[in-house]
Amino acid sequence: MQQRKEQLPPGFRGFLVRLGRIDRRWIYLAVAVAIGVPMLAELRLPEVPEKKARATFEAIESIPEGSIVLLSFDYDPASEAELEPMANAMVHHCASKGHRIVFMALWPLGKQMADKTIDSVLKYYHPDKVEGVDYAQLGFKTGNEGVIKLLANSIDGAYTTDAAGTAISEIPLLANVRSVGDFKLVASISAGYPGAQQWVQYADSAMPEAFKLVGGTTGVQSSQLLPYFPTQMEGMLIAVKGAAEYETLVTEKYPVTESPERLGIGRERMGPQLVAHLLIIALIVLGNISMLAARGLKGGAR
Amino acid sequence: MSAPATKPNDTLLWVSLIVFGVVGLSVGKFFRPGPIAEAYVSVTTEVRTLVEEVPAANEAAAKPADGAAAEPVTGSTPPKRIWVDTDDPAIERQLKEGTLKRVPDVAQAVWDVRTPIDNAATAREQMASLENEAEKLSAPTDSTGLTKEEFDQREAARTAALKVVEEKRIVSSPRDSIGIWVGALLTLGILSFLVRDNPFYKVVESILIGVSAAYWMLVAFWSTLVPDLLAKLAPDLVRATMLPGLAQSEDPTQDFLLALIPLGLAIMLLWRLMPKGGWIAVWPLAVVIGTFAGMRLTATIEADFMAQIAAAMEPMAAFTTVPPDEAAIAAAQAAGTAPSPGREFNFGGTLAAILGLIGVVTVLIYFFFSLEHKGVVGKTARVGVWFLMITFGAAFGLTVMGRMTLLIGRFEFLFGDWLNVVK
Amino acid sequence: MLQRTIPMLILSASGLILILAYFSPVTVVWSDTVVGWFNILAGVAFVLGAGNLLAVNLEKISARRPGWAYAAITLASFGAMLVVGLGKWGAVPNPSFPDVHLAGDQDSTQSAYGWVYEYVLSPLTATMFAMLAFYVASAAFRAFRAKNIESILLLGTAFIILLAQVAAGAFLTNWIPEDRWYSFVRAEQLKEIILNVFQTSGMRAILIGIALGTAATSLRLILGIDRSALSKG
Repeated sequence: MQQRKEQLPPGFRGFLVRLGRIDRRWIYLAVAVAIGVPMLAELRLPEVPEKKARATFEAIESIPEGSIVLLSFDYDPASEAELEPMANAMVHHCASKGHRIVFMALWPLGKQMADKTIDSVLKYYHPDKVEGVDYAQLGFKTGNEGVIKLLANSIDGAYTTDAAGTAISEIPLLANVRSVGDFKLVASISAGYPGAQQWVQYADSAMPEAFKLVGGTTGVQSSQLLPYFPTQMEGMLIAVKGAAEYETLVTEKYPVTESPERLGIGRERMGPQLVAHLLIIALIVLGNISMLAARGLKGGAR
Repeated sequence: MSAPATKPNDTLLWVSLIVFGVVGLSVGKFFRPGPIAEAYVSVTTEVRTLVEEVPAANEAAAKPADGAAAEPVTGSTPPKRIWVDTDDPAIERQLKEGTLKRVPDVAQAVWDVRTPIDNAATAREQMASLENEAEKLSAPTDSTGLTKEEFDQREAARTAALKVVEEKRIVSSPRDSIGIWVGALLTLGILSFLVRDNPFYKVVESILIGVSAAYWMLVAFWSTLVPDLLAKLAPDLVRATMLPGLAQSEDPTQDFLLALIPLGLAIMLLWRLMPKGGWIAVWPLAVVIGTFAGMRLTATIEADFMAQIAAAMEPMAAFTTVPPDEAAIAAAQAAGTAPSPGREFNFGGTLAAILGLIGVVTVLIYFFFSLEHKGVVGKTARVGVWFLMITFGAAFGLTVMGRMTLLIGRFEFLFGDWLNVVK
Repeated sequence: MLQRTIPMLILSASGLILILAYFSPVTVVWSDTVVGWFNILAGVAFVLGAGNLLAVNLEKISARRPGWAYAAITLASFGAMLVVGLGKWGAVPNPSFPDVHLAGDQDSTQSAYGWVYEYVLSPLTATMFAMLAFYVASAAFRAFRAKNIESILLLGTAFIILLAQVAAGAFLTNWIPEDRWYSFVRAEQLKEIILNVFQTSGMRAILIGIALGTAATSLRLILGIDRSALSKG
């Protein structure tokens, strides 16, 4: 930061130039307001599902009822806000469709994420589902893609027991599941490495025809995954927008009466999102205007 | 933080923060009065009883009849003992039939399971509905028009249902309320860094580092090192103390011997912490790097190289499948087959496919040509740069969405779980 | 020999076993064994990380370096977490084995470990990452300047995506009919085009580039051409 005094042009132009050098904490405050106010006002907007969310929905719809699916929770609290809505909707979708779900995690805190969804969605909306028969929680295992690599050959090669310490051979649900290839669908709710990309590289590539692969991804990671859609990944949910669209699709087909908000978190977060996005646009515009105003000044905008 | 903090500016910032906070929260509290940081849990009591299998009577009677050749059934293998929920109808039946019997002198295990209820309003609703249900179920029922048997059956079902309802309790949970306060203060501690670096932030950061290192280590210990390493080295000990559900291995000796290798490698890796002999840790590192390289080599070539090139080469002329037209239907009827759908040239799709290929090629040229970016190569590379710029622009847009969502999540925690002014 | 040659051989052997298993199913058993070790070592790495943290902070405290009090806080929280987590304080008994305390589940807030996760670790990690929302806004204001055609492309795309991802895009362009040749300027269609055509091809080229780079590096490591990875000692 330069300390030297410089001659600012008078009037509006000077104001614009000064604006460009504003203390960044004002911007932080603006972000807080942009998110806080619409949240307090409970701004809600309708969602129109687009192609990728539809493809994800269709992938889960199209496999026969009662199929065994693998949901890998490859995220942690840092990305929970983006991915939990997808996870909730997906578990509700699979359970409503009658699929049997195997949960696992490639991230150390992923098991906690899965537990949360099991408690708040699976056990809540589908209390008739029995652990071990309708669903199983394998939990976390260290090794990143190494875990997928083992799963591709055998489940019990990667997991000795499930998360509660029951031997894999004692779990009825897994009696006929030898490897990843015996699942009809694999979904990775993924926040980065290891995640959906590794599922493509190590599981889908090993047996491209065996199962459908869908991914729920964070905004940051989705760019990296786009080239895999639609040949290697049949469905993709991009950021909270994708979550909101998917929630809409799921709750339209499988509505719930009690506490529907658990399947509407994504849509809830789209309201503050609108204002935040407008703020970012405004900031970019202001930054550029200020640059134009400062053009030609000594020590001007950089 | 390099912001040159001038005093007046700081004051203004603090004043705005406080004004915004106080005004916002009072407005919020006005519309949504209610306690702060309230937490409820639903409590269920679990009871487990230790039972053992009783060999079936007819089986025991049949044994001697098989003649002397049959192996004598002795008490050499103790009967299988399991913990069961005696309220489970299947178990109840077995206990009545005598195929299971309770192990004497072993006390029942009784404990509470507390499941948090994620929002207080739901919790209160659930409390009310449970009360209602209990009231309904405990009301006396009408027996007219029923045989004694039917009535008894219904009564039994009613009592069972009532028992289930009464077992579900919803109570407020101070432990979780305190937790919400702690979480909120820690959240504010991190956010305070935005104003400037300060001791509060530093304390919170130190806690984060300590807790997460320990947490990750524990997760690795319980989820991998115990079942995959310790359980192979000392299966009986692990079964007795940590993992009673561990399956019996077919060949424990081989498991043990094979597990010695990773054990050795683990010790060598941990040798890094020693002041001397750092080279020892290089051996396990070699396993890690070698495995990693081997895994990656085939995986990326297949998924990221060949598959991507194939995807980029998708048919340049795209067609859309359209419903069969009249002529096709007539022809199909004449031939007695199903009408085949028609195809229509898709201009947009074709353009997209061509553009996509141009993108891949030009960006690759930008990356790979170690030639000077001049002439044709330079021009193509320039197009590649444009594609990259669009790529990064879109990535930025998506990143904004991602980051904002994370902040929204934290605000939901502060405004919802803690202050209880939204939802 | 012990320090260089053997590690090199180990590296090559484990890499080759993995590659071999790709071509011949007979050796899959070997490769799975090696990957199993890899996974265990990945677990040990967490222990190693914790050990390193311990060493660094202990040194800081004993030497009374500036900020040693913070190091003490780190150590205290580390120690406390370790004790409750290893002993499974307050864990919910395992319904099948209520008599074995350590078989219990400590992931609910009922146990000390689960409580710390829910109310300390989870809010802290989440907030740490949420801070990026502020930084991204600040960067948008300071660094996004339209100076030449490249930066205008970057900015323009970001604008369209920012608008189209939220209701603003639909609000601005919903008056355009959906089935005309010019309907691609509708925000949601424009976004699809950017994502599916431009971003996909750009990222695809990057992926191909990375794949070649990874493959080359892996080969160099396995064939022993690049030994820098093992030179630490």
